[in-house]
Amino acid sequence: MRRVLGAVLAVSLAVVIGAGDARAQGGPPGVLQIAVISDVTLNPFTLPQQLPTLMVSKVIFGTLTRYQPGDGKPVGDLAASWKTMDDGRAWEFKLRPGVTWHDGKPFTAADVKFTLENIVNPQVKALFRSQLQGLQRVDTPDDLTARLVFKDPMPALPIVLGYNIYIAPKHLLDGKDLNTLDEFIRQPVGTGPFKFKEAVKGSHVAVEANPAYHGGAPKLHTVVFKVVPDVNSVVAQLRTGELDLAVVTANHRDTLASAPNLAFKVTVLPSTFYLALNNARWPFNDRLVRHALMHGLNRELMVQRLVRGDAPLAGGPYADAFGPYVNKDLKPYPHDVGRAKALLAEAGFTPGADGVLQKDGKRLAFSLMVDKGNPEREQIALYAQQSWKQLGADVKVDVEEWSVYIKRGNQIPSGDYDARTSWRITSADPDKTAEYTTGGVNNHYAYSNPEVDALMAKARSTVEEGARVAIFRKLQEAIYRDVPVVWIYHQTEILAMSKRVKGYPDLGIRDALPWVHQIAVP
Amino acid sequence: MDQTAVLEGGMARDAGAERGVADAWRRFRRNRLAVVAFAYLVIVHGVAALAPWFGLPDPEAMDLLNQFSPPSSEHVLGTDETGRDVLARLVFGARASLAVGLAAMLVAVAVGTALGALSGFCGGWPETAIMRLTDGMLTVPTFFLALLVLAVFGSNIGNVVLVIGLTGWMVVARVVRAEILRALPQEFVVASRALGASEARMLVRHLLPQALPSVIVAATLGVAYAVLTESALSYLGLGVQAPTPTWGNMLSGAQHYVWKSPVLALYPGAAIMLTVLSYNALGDALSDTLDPRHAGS
Repeated sequence: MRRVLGAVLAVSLAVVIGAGDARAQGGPPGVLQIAVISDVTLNPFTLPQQLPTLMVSKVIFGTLTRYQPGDGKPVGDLAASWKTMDDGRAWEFKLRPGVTWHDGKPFTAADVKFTLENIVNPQVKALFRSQLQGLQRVDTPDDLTARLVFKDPMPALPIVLGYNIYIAPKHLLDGKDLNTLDEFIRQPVGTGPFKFKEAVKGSHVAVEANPAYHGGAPKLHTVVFKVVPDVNSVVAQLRTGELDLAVVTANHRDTLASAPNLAFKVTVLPSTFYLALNNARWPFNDRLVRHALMHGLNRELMVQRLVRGDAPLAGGPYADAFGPYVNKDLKPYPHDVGRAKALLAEAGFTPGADGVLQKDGKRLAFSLMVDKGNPEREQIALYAQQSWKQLGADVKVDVEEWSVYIKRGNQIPSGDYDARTSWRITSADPDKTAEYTTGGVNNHYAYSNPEVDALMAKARSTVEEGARVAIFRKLQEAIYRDVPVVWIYHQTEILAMSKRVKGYPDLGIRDALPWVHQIAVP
Repeated sequence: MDQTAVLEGGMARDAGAERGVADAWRRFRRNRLAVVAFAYLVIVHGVAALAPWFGLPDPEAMDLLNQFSPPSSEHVLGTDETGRDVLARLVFGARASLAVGLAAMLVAVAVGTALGALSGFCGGWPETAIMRLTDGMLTVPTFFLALLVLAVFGSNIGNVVLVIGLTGWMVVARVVRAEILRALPQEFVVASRALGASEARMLVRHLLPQALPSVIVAATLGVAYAVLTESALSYLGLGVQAPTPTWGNMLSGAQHYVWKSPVLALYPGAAIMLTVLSYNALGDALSDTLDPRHAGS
């Protein structure tokens, strides 16, 4: 017991000392220090560890397209130009000439063919295979032309290709087991602005400037990705200048607001956070109940007070990041408890003896599942519980381990839950077949509306931009009327950035990293 | 025990017991720290038991327009990150934390006493089996075992109590066995055996009472272990689940706001620390007071 107490005291002492405000110093000039939450394994196909690996991959590897600062439109990276053929079923990409791999070998269409065909190869556990679903083959009429042939039209292909489809070197990887790549991950070779230098487990990954980069020599000489798993340490290191860039929560932005060396950048992501209602289960199969739960929740207050970070209130699944496809006429449903109660009465619910509403002898009782460990999401679940209780619903909050949450929730045609907190981040491709059509792979809440299915299919096969926009706006109306889930807000990324950092492109960190050669740290 | 009490037999035995209690109390009182700890524990348990009758705000009611509010007449210790009353959560948290602590201690004492008595009294292979099991359990890092069990079977109050109880009985078992082994050859046991007392009667009437003082000490220290373990489990998200407040999950929630509102961590942290220290002080004092070897000192 005494030893335990001693340990507790030692830890608290360390926390107190750590909290002392050290002077902001910053790293050496020409070196950018970015936080990642775990070690990375630089396999451009399987991308283990996901986000941290993606961040490092974005500076080492190239993609065919990337997103333009400001408006986020897809522009060329390894591709110089492209055009569609065969009603959007085929796309021809002209590659940028004179690009070389970090080992000096030339980059050609053969690399593109090798990479893309392996991503859709079922033997390879490529993380982003579903994005290229329907890719039949890649033709290479010459060294600088790649023609992608799909089963169905792919109107948003240039957006999709910029979203983590890294091109890998055929001359080094051909014939290797792409799921492991033991040798390659120790010394990865790409076409990006930075070359791999070293990786020290539990400490950092360092990359150095590639002077031969096709976009011009980088202004930095080194980028260091520091492995900092603990968010309180990230905050402390931002303050002291040991980190130049890190994604933080709204809560930590408030903490850091007083730090003179830091600035913040907020980006709305193509993502939505919502409370999923299992449409396959009673009482959520009744649209009136779903509407009532939507009206009964003060989402505006939740966003202001629990989420913050300037997150916009969501009226549907389309964040501003989806650009022209967003139907701005659809305003988020207002908070109106009276309306909510009236809707429940209309649905046939009457107060029971225990104060809980009931219909045909069934109590309005359900559980709300939330993944464990994230205070913001737990607070949202608890607040929804409290708000819906006021409507007369008996809600039980069910806090589950991440693995259980995923296993129970991520099933089709419907997950094993009544309601749960959920969110989805995608590319800016407005196609939401996976989320909002009958049987869609991410439609775990069993939403089904034949009108939406038909419109989504029509949008997929429509290449002409104006017509596509019109279809997407129309299908949003149908989804909006149905309230399949209770949308709450569109997620934002809050980037804390040292004021030493110059030339940071107007994009979220994920999309900004392919432009890292423009960033300077004098 | 007082020599005279034994000599004078029958009638005098009660008087002797009374004097024993008086002696014990006198010795206990001399230990200032223990008295303070005891008073603190009485207050904390009293407050926890009577929590619903203090007219405190609902500890689970959020008020998003009143986050992190400073102490006021309405919220004596202010509010937390979702506008819940900190004092109410602290008081109702005490309820959960102490209830889990005491219940887990009861489980540990029941299991430990049963196994200890069985092994001390029976001897032979049951003793060997039980004591090797005890040694085995003592080598297992019980906290990680508890984590594993809760992760597999899910965490609710019942499981938390069982897990803490079933990983904390070993010391009690050893103590009880030792006391029984010490008592077995003594004259009063031999005498009762000679008079034809049944085994069960001997165990319950003569042997276990000998172990009682040591069990009380072990139980007191056991509560400290249980409260601390519950806090640690809740801190890691595997203890009592939200929205029920406990000191451990209050601390866990507060860690995200250590930069912004450090007092939120201070209150439950101090409550845990004082309670555990008090139980330890009380346990130490009781062991001094109740141990027959200290008698007459």
